[in-house]
Amino acid sequence: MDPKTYIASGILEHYVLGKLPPEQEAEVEEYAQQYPEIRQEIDAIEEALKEYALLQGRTPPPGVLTNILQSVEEGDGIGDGPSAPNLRPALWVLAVLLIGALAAWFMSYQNGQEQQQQIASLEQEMTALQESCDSIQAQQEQYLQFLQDPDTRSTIMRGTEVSPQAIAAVYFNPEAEATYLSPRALPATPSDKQYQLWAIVDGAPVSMGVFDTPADTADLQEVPYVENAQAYAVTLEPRGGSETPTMEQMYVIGEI
Amino acid sequence: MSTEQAKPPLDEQITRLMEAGNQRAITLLYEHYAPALYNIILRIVRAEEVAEEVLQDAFLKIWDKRDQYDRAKGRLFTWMVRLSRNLAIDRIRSSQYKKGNRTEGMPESVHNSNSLSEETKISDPGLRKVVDQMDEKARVLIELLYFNDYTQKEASETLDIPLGTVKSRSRKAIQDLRSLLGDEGLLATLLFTLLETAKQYFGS
Repeated sequence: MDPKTYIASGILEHYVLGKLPPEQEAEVEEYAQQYPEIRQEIDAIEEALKEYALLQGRTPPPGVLTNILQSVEEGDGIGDGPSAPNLRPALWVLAVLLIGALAAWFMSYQNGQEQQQQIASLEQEMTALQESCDSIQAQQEQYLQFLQDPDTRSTIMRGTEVSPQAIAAVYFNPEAEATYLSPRALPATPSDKQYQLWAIVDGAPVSMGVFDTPADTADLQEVPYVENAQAYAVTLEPRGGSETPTMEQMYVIGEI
Repeated sequence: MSTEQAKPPLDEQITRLMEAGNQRAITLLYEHYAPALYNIILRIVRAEEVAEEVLQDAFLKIWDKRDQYDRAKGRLFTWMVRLSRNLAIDRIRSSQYKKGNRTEGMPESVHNSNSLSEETKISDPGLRKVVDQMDEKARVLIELLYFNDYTQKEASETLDIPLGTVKSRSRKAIQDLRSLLGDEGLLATLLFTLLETAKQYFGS
């Protein structure tokens, strides 16, 4: 291929004018890379046509440029094209971070909710315990006060043949007219029976009420005060108690 | 005229701005090339309102497709002319199609385009020179091929010259142009561009 002949053939003019089929266009481009004189010739043709086109120029109506710039501004605002720095990846990262943060916040919020509920229930429990503690303490103080009272006396009731190991106590205070029973170590009551406490006044038994073991309150329980008791005894009676004690079922007895 | 040195620094500058996505490139392109492109579009669509729309579309497309411009293959201006010309031709084809009038004659458009360019010719000294000294048929041949995107066959039919000589004649015509324009042409172009820019700013 002789570049001079190629140039003279008029093919380059038609290349610049865009009249060549694609395969011929590719050929010209290949030669243009190989032969600087062909490249130069193409440049010169382009330049001449361009100058001629510029000479023929007519001023377009005003406002077209403004419209173009406005459209481009709006189009580019979306962020495609290399014009504005591409924010899309950054936006994705941001979105992922945001979702992550939201998830974390939500989880910690839920956690917080659960913890708050736990705290609330613990607080409730705590209050209940505090109240029970207070009431037990008040009870204990009351017992202690009673037991420490110089006028309070005690009677130990010891086991009989029926139950030699059994033991119980009665504390009474004639000044305060109060009596407490401490069941201590009485065998557990069968379901159809109850213990009954008796005071012996001038040889006659006076009922002081029934109770169960193990007792609801492990310690002392208040019982009615009976004046002038000389002894106390506990018998096992049918549930609800009896009019008179069943002597064969006397578990403990103690004289004052 | 040598290769790289002859490439105007303006195009270099604009190309770089385009590659960087700098919208200043649009303004520069518009200031320098919009009149030439507008003229070409107007020759094809033959209505100023339509030409204005097509010019606007062309610049938007130029900006949109700026990644597709391959500077190794040719000048920015050549690429812009092709793009604008295609848009203009698409526009008249679609409007003719709508009107069911696709066969609207090519020769008619030639006369029109001639008269259009005739009006503007006289005012510019550079153009005056080209028109005075160049063979009329050669000049019109170039305009048809370049501005109106006629095929060789269409050009041969319109100008009534043998198809076989279209190629050699267009080479001859472009060579005439090159010698006529030369350095003076470059100066005229510059002046013209300045004038157009000034007109734009101070109202035409």
